Amino acid sequence: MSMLTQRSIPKRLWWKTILCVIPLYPATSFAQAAGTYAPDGYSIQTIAAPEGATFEVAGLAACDNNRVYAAIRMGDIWALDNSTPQAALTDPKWTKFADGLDEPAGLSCAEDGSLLVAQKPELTRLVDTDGDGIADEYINIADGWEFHDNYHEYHFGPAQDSDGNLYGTLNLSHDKPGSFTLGAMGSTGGYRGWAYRVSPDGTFYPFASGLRSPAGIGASPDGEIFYTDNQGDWVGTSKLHLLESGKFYGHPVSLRDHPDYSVEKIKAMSPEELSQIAEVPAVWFPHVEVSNSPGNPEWDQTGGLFGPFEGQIFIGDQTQSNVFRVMLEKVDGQYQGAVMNFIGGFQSGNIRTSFDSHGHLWVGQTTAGWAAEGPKPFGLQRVVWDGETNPFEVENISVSPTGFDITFTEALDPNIITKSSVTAQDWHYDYSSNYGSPKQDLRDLRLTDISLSPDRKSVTVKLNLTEGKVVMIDVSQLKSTSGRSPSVGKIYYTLNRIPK
Amino acid sequence: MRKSRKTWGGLCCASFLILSACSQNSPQDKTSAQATGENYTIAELNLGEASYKTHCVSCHGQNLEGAAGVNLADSEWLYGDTIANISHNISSGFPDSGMPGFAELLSDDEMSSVAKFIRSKRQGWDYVDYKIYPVAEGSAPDFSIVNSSKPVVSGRFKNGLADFERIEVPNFIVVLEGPLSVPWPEPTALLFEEAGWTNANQKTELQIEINDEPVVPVDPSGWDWVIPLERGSQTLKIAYFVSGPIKADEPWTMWHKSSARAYIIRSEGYPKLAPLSRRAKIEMEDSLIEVEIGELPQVVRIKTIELPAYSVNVGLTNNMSYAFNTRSCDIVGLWEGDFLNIGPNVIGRGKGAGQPMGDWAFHHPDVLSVTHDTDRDCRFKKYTRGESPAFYFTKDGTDFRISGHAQDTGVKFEVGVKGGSTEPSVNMALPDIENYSVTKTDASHTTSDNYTIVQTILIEKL
Repeated sequence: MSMLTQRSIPKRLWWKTILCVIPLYPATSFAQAAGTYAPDGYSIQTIAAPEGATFEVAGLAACDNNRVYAAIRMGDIWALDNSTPQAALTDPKWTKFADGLDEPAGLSCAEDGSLLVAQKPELTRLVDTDGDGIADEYINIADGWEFHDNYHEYHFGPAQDSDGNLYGTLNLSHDKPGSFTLGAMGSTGGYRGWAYRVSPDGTFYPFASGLRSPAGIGASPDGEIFYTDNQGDWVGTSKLHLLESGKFYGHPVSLRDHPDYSVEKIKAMSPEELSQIAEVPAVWFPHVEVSNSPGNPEWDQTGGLFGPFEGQIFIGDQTQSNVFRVMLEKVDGQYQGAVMNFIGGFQSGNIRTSFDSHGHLWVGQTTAGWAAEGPKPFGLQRVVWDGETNPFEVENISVSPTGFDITFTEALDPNIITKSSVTAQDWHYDYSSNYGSPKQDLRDLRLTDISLSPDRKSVTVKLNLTEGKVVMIDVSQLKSTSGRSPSVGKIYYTLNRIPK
Repeated sequence: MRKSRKTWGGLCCASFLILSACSQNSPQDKTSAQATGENYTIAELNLGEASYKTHCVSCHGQNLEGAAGVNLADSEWLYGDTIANISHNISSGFPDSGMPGFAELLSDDEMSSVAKFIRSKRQGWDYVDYKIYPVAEGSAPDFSIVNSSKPVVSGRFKNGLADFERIEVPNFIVVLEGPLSVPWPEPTALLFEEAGWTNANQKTELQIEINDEPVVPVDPSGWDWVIPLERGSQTLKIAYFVSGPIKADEPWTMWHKSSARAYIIRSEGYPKLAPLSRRAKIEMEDSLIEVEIGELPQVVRIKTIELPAYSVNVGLTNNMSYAFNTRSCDIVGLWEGDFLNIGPNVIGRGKGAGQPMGDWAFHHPDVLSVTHDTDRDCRFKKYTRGESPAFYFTKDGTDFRISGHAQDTGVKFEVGVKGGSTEPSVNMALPDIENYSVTKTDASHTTSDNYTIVQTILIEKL
């Protein structure tokens, strides 16, 4: 197989992979996502990369065959024997499964044992026909979009729904001469800024438009498809959407490929007109405080192997070098919910997350030429729960007509439950061609009531709610009966609807 | 095992060869003379080039890029950059550094000719004068203060590399100006990365003049500005405005000194040819990542110079490489030499194109096609790896298979159709290829995956 040699060693890319376990300590609440914090009982472990590899992990899949596959930007896919978690940490056995791909940025395990990879020009199925652990066939599954050799025309995915359809997302271009822009990112056509679906019989279908830099796509346990998008022009702050057929998610230049629109027609539309046809996200991720560049949504379906957060979504951030979690609920049949930081202090930019069968959360990392809080340009780490320690954290949150019910993983100290012990704010974001939006109409909210449940594990807070806002609730001052503080205290709830 | 060059790759080599071939009547030679204020003749340059190839190339490289000896194409001249300085250094040498003097070997005219040849190959800024003007935090871009006030700091970057990290004020206009040499015959451009970095906090604005005439980028709305350059010598002036509130807790929202990078690039595919700033030089030095060929052919799918999007490069084991395109299902390129430098496509954000490290036999729009009509729809199905990578596609309702095999000094392409289907009249359209022989042969053997090979095309170096 291939040998990649670096004649002139990029000093900033070469870091010696050090096998280590980074100790993490509970910390007080952080205003920003950056920094080192973790729930009690959780730690970050660093996995040594294959020797000599520039291990910029942009695709990651922990498969049922006890292998963890990592796709690196340079074009290789590596496989790690993960049958024994400790051995994967202390003596990792890597083999190269495939190479020569065009900046792969997504991986998925197929039921037939093949591997699906999203590379820039194509969704490809890799098949090891002779069973030697190396892919022999690179099969074209879908290429029904246009790729113009622009560096920013990334391709992410695939995610699979309950009917076996595959979905991917197609980035807009950047600095592409001749492209149609209304801000920073552009499209020269061919479904840039779209999500697509490819059916089991291979039919390509442009599925939804309005995407900007949709670096993460994933399927929920129910087979619904969600995607994340990065803050920038027409995206006030990073966000999570349910992806549905025919819908428009906000970035207007993608509409040039929609049969009902033209470039001229799009140019004539005001932001107000565009906002009326654009979907609102299920969850906004506040910039800097949580996320600048979110990756794929990954659901905790470990059955408790990862601790008390079963069913929640875990997402890495490339800039903040953190992992945050999302708690969804449905109000009036529509998803909305909250985001909280979960664990911070990773070594590099987190772009991919994947749970393995041992209940460990693998985190693929590359800065991909951008900046990250973590000091290293690339790498692979995993988050491990010790299986014993019950962390003291917010377990979940649910909106009510008058406020929120917030559940904790351990009973609360009742002496600290007062109206002033929980603070809140709300705001919204502007929708425009500007690169991101500051918080609009930021205001403090006063609690009108707070009460503790009989089992002392939940508080109910009452406050004046307004639809269309992000509500931040800070529970940092609350303590458990054992005197612990949560490692993360700020909950950001996207209040699209107030239940009746 | 194929050997690799320890250079920036075949592109520079190819540029050098093309430039050499063109030097008989190149207008660039005259303009280079204008840049330095010194006079060269075509005869002098030819004599200098011949002497350089005999006496200098082994240490300083075919492209003057340096190896055992120093780089002679950049702007870093430790011992003077005039013809007289260079001639003197050729004559005396630097015995302590391992360079002999050539006074006993070459005549004064020959040494002067070598000096002029070297000087004519200069790339980039000869030097850069800089002036820095502080501006108010958060002020709107306004370049009029350059004419109405004095700079607080001024000086010269003698090595021809603008160093933005010398700027110590957070809000400023910096004016950079100096003579620029563009020796390449192919179209080139100025690339200024992060020129348009603007957000709610920080504003930047760029004004560029070439020979005192304002110029505009190909895409003014882009963060990276690309401005076509003329071959030869010109005066390049860059005025760069940066201002905005400093937010220590949001450092990534601010312009950063290391973000601004300026290069001369080739217009096609944007490979970087010469740095114009210090950070750009560091980035370029990091940009060689060569894919070598081992015992098996390599297949690399990546943006590649001269090739259309959707091309897949195949490096064979005999120093020959070709590219198959999954949109047209044609062979869109064939080259001899080392395989690929993918560094420009993966370093940083990977904005550049991969570089074939050899000499083209042909490339797009010349193609090797299974029909005459390359516009007909094809459906690419898959490729296989192993000893003989093969590409499978459907065209005109027929399943095809095409594979390239190393054979002596060439490539034998085999074209097959799926067994059981009616054999079509396969008619390979061939490009005109100089210095190669092309032999088309009908065949009728069957592959293990039930394709009937109906035709072979052997393309061999003469």
